[in-house]
Amino acid sequence: MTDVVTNKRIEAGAADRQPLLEAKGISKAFGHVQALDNVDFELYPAEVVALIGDNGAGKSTLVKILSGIYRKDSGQIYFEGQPVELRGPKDAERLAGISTVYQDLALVDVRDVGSNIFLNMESTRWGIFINFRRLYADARRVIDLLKIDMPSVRVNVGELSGGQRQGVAISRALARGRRIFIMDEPTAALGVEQQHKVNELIANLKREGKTVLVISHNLEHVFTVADRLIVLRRGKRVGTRLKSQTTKEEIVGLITAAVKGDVPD
Amino acid sequence: MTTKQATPPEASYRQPFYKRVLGVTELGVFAAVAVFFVAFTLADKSMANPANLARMALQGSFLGLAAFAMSFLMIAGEIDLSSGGTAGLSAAVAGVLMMNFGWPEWASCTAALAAAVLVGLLNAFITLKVHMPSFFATLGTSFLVSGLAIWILKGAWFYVADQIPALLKVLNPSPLFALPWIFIALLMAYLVGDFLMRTSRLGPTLMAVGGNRRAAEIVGINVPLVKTLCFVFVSVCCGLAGILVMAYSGTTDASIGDGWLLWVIAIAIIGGGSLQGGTGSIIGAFFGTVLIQIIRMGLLNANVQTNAQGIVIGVILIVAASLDVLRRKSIQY
Ligand SMILES: Nc1ncnc2c1ncn2[C@@H]1O[C@H](COP(=O)(O)OP(=O)(O)O)[C@@H](O)[C@H]1O
Ligand SMILES: [Mg+2]
Repeated sequence: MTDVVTNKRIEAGAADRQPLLEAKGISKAFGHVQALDNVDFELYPAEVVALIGDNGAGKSTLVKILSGIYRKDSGQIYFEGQPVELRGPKDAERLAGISTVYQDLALVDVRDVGSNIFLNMESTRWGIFINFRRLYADARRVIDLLKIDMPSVRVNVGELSGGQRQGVAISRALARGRRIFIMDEPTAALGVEQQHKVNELIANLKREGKTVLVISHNLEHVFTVADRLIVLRRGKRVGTRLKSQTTKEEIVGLITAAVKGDVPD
Repeated sequence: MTTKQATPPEASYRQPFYKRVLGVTELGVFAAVAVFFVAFTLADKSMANPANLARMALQGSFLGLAAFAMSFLMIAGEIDLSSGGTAGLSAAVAGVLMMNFGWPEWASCTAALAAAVLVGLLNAFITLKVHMPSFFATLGTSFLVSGLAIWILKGAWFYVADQIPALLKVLNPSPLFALPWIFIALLMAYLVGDFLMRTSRLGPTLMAVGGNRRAAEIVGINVPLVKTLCFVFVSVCCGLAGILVMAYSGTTDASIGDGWLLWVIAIAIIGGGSLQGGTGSIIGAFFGTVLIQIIRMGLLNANVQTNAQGIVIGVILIVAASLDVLRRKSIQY
């Protein structure tokens, strides 16, 4: 495959490391629309990858395959080198440690921060009574780990700002031992200040050794948070760049086909 | 999330006083109970006399039992409009088995509760598998089970008082202020239920299922199972209440649960429940039951006509619901 050659340069620094998650030759068609065409994809431990491309490039489709929502037509996914079959979101969470932070964040507004983070995994006394003291202490620890600005973990989630809510959703995944965090347009609904908070959140996840995959339309945002950029165009992976070795102009060119991709269209 | 400003230590954080007070879901209904009790007692001394209180406790226990279960179901985000019909069906099944088939009391009652379980499973099936909102699903079963009750009884009514010694014991006064046993048991159920909602995983689970189904699913809660259990629980409690009304009146007829539905929902909402699900209060439903009973008895003592009772309760329900909206807004969620 052609992009193996081009990826040499990109992965020079990472060649000694095994990818945490690897996908090879992923294809997916909807009717006669080839949403993904033989796409290779890899995520390394503790990196932030941005998946970018025009509308309809196949970003959401790829992410949905990785999080077990769509089944791929062909290709193979590996977690820590072992082949895995993701038949549903639960498989993605349990077999590959992938947690997808959805735009609606799916939080229980009428419960507090601590209860949301540890929902359905509350530690109990005698198997019945929730150990709230421990729950709030643990919640505080997760929140502090990610340096989320949160006066108290006893505040109802319904009262939080957009950035704080995102923090709770990510803390919930972190508390469950997830290692890969997929965020589809995490800043889309947020103001400038809240966007900064999400950037910090992503940086803190990386510092904790987690891998983050961000889908974003916002190049400004992508260039702030990502280590590596993967560009999709019409279902193909047309380019992979380290942020340190590329420019916004080149990336825009790759997205719009003004710059020739690493693979033929 | 900012690193510049240190997060204040958890211990120093306290909700403002007004929020903590207004955060108490049962505040309004508790206040209303106190106000109406005092007002009716001032108007008519007989309200507070022990015999009257015991009678109110007995009469309120049937609706109170149905409302107890309904508040769990409503927190889980569903509703059961077939509560009265299920009560009537259970009473009909028990009555027919005892009188026409000569079944013993315990067997007839067990069969009646089994019928209630089936109604609950049917409600759950239509809601969760056919994906019809429970409002419509249970409206349908409501007609279905009422019709079944009439069909089983074939228009007859049975005098059962001689056949049900054990059930009648439940209605007898206990040594505690001569309050009936059923009331004592129901109060215990409310206290235990409320305690478990606050302290066990029951609370977070039901509130997640009703408050945000996707959140519940993401963390691996079996949402259909939880909702099914709630539906069945409501049906069984309604069936039990129907059997107890049968015992109380000594007769079975198909109209036992007529008119229950609105009372049960009203009680759950006055007690702090919400038609949106996710929130509600178990002990609030107890106060709701008490409030409704006080008002009904008070109006009866004051010789207010039955249809005027409806007007008064309607106004109270609307005021209670409006105040609750304001209360929620003022603590913003
Ligand atoms: N569920 C679907 N059914 C039919 N076509 C789809 C579906 N999902 C995506 N597509 C098509 O696949 C292509 C890629 O879509 P998508 O992955 O959503 O792109 P992106 O997220 O990059 O904007 C588009 O042409 C889109 O119309
Ligand atoms: Mg998309």
